[in-house]
Amino acid sequence: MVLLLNLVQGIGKIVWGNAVNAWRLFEFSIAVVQAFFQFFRRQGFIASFRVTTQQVFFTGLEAMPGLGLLSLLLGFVVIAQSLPQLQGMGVHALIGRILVISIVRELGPIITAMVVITRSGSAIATELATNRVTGQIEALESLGIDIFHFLVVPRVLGCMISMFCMIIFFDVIALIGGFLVASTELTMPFGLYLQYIFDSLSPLDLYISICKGLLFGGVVALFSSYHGLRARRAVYEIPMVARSGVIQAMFFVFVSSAIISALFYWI
Amino acid sequence: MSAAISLRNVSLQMHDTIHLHRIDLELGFGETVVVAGDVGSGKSLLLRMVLGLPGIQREDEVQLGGEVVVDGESVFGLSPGELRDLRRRIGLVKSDGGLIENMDVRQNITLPLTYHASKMGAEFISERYAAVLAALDCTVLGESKQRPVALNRVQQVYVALARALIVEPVILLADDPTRGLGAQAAEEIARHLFSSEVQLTRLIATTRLTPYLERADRFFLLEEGEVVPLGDTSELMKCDHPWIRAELSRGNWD
Repeated sequence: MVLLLNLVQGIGKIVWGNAVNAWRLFEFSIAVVQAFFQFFRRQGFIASFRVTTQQVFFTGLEAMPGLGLLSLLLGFVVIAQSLPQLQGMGVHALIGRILVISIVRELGPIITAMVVITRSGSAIATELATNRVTGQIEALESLGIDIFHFLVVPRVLGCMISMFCMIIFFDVIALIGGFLVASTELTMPFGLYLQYIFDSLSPLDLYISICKGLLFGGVVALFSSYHGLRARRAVYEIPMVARSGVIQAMFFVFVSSAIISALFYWI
Repeated sequence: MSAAISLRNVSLQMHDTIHLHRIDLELGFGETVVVAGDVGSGKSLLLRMVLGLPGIQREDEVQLGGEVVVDGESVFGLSPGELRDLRRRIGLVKSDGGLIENMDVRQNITLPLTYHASKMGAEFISERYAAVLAALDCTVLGESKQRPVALNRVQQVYVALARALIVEPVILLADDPTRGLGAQAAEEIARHLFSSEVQLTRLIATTRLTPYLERADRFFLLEEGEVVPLGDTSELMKCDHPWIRAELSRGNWD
């Protein structure tokens, strides 16, 4: 009986803890949205805009070489795996459809989000947690600086802009990777390859891919900032909050990607 | 005359621990008050109360009592925006500098101007920067492109002091800026704290009295969360409180 009571109590504590955490994340998100709408009007815009450009540089530009290689290899692998099956069935015209479905719709946003989470999400959480632990957040607040306006919104905005550009970059390079295989195996001319792609690509595919990118970019930065600023006064908390930010952001990206795909392509 | 800073019956409890208990403290405009006490006596929290507890988190489980009025405004009745406006009129110098690590010396010092005064030209900011460095005799430090991690403790305090003074505050809060410094460096820092030409209200928290003996108007001792008035310098010298006697006999020797 005591064991059962302890079990129920333990589960209750976990559920309550998660509910409180979710509520605080919601409150944090509301504060970020409010600061977001005041971003361009408020005093301090120039300083915050500078932080935004730095974030775009770190998240977007610096990640481009690695992301380019990743997307090239992915496009290469997808077509290298699909082509023998398509050739066997004599339907190699489906090459465009396979690339659009696998890369533009699904893998592009998800893999780009994973790159942003592992590079920038963890960096944002770690940096803000370090700022908190070393008293820099307190110092900024003492100067009358709104940390949502100066630290969080620029990171959210920077990650959204970066993700937008990175997804387009990813798709283009992956399609080039696919073309390299197709041109080698099928001696397919580039014009025909492009025609297959554009025949399969609807505007909805592009909108959803880009909307996913903006959503994922914003959420990765939001979750990472929230967890980073949750750190208190101890250095050992820094890896803990960074891990929480990364895990939650990954979870959100996979679940929301599945929901969006189900909503638009299945239901 | 209205007070620049007024703490009325102020109490502060965090995590079921009482840090400040029924504090009454009033500073007139242009007055300098030194609050002395041991490390952990609550001096930093007292200064943070004046600023509306920056950096405080919900998990700190803060319980407040009493009223803090700064420059005519009740601090804990202000909206976040109003509180930020008030903080812009207050300069803060912390013992650890409280500097932003990914900014160099110039960026740290000019941060309050570059953030709050977007409409002010770069020329105005450069003029203020040069003026404040000249006033603190640290023009060479200002030319450095170094970040806080490459600065020594004395330099960090100078940068913090310059950042506090660049906005021409009406109130200057100093959180033990001389802690851990040698006697000569502490004396220099104290001299600069008092060198401002404009009328400045100063509230200085410190673990050492010597640098402020001939400079402050009034002294208090913060002990177990309560303030004990010690009077002016002459009254302080006659005080027989053990902590004060020990501190005065220690003099400039660390």
